[in-house]
Amino acid sequence: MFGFKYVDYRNAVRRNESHHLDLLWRENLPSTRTAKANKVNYRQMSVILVYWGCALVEPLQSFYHQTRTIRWVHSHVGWDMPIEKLNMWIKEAVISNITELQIVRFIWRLNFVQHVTRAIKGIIWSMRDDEKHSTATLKDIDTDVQAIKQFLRTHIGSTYAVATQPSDANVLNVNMADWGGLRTPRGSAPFNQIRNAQAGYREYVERQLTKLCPWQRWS
Amino acid sequence: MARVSPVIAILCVLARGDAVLSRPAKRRNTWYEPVFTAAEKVLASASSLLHLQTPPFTFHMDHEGSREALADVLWSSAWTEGIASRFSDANPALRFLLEQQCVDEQSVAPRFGERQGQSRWEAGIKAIFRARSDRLVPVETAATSIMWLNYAIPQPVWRAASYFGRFVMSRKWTEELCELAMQRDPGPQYPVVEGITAAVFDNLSMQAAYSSFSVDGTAGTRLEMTNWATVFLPAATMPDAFAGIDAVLGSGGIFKRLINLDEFLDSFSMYAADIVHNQRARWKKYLDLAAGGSSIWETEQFDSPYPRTRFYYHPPIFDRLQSSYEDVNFEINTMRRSTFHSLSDALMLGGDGLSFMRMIHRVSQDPRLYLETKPVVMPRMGENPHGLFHIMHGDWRIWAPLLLRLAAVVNNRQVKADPTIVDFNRHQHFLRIVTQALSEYVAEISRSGTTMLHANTFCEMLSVI
Repeated sequence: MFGFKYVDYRNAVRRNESHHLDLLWRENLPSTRTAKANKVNYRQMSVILVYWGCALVEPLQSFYHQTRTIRWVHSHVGWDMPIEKLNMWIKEAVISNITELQIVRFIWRLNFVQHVTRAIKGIIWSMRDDEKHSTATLKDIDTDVQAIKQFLRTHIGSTYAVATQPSDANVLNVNMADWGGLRTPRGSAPFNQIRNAQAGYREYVERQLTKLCPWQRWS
Repeated sequence: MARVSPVIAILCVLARGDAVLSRPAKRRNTWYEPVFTAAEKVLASASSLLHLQTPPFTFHMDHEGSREALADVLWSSAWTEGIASRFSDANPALRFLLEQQCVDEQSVAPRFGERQGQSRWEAGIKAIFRARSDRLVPVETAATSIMWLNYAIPQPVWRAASYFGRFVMSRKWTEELCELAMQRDPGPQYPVVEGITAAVFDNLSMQAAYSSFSVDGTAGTRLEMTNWATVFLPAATMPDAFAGIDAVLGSGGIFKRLINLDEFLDSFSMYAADIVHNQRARWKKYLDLAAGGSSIWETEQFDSPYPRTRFYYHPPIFDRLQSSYEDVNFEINTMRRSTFHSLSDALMLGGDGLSFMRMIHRVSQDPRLYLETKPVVMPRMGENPHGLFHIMHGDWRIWAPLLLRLAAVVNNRQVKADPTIVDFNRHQHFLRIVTQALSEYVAEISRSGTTMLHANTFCEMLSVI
């Protein structure tokens, strides 16, 4: 159920919980090292990210953690969000006769017009309650949720006893090609993929440290 | 009206018994007082109608320094408070008159309440000021014009609105105001960290003139650039003990001298105590939410202890992306040498995964340049949207067969086995559906068996096969 890890991470970014983010990147390492995920860059980066979080001297380290994410409107976002937004604004506004000069002029003004636009939105939204103000209303998903639950009840079982019966049958009719086929289903199940990817993690982490943090002395 | 007004004015003066024409009565007979008071009120109101009061944050463009004052007010947040009824409040008689008017066959004027926290007559009274002179600019008229400029409202729409409604200024006027305002940028409205500055960067490619009729024989061009912005980090994020980078560098550098390697390596074990503890805690937290009928994804209200971050967007670095070390070197040097950062002790540089990757490689290749020469470079990785997407992406690839099967159940054809960041929102939405459904299912079947808090049991059982 990687969904929980994802929601956990998403909330930690919003709340600027830097140490918790480091913990989640550490937890995520085995997933990134599976053959299926194959997140070559991000597994390397997660090691270095955690290293910076624990290797800086105080009070620089505290400062580093307190600025792990950046406050946007109410909650926090990543360091990549401001330029993502800028790129989006450029694409939305500079749509015809695109020239370098036009883009430069747009960005020059943006510092002011964004400030004013935000103020107007603040006035217009001031009559909304806090919850609506700070978060977008989530789309209703109940129909889809009920459909999936019904599917699971029908194919796995609607009671604990039935649902937890040991079985190697492909009861959900999942395409097993990516999970090792029908002959070795258990060995290539997601949990086992992640467990297998855990092998050699110490050597992997040490290799990244040696390569990307050559200045550090270790005891 | 011009002929009537002096009469009304005189009547007003007479009715109020002002000192110019007569003395106030020493004593009044009480039997006619209510009638006289009503007349008094009407005449006083009539007098007020002939003299409009200009409320605060209204600027006359012919007055010297008013344009600059308008720009300064727009930079400040002061104008956003208390503007909902200022025209109506400054002219109560006019407001009273508007509220007494009947329309068509109405015999009695209805009662008028506020509309969305704003006086119902605010726009009307403001329009009277704008009708008197185009040079009279309420701050919200200027602000709305700037907002239109931001959203690139097409020129015909702009012209029509300013002709019929007059609630926006002309585009040219707005552009000139922006130019002036940018020269009067007051900077962030909160104390910033001293000695350490920050910037963010990322690349952008745009197609130019691809569908232009004027392009003859060429299929347009591609504009490539790296955009960047200065981030003003609030002083509140820095602990009091910080005495500057010089003190840190003088005592051996920004990194700890010795770190226990075994402890560091073990922390990446999937069985590390804090990782397992957190997995169990969130399993309970989210399943409890699902069992209670709540949405797992509902975000709790969070108000950051820090002020809203101010950014300064710089002109792009054209013809540079992040596909080569040469480009990244150029970009880092540009940012380090800019007037915003050249005198800084340390420069935090943030961006997406690729930017972070390039930076950590450059720092490792040349630590003397980046870690021992000011401004020291500290790479920051973007956690959202890029970090968030890649946290999802790895596991999505692993779980894709099940996810695609469940997508078929709800007839979702947008979900892919291997999404890119362009597909992020659609896949995040489907993940929300799946997470909620599976959680509610686990909570449901656990009611007929054992406690749902046995995470491992359930995870193993629900690994489908």
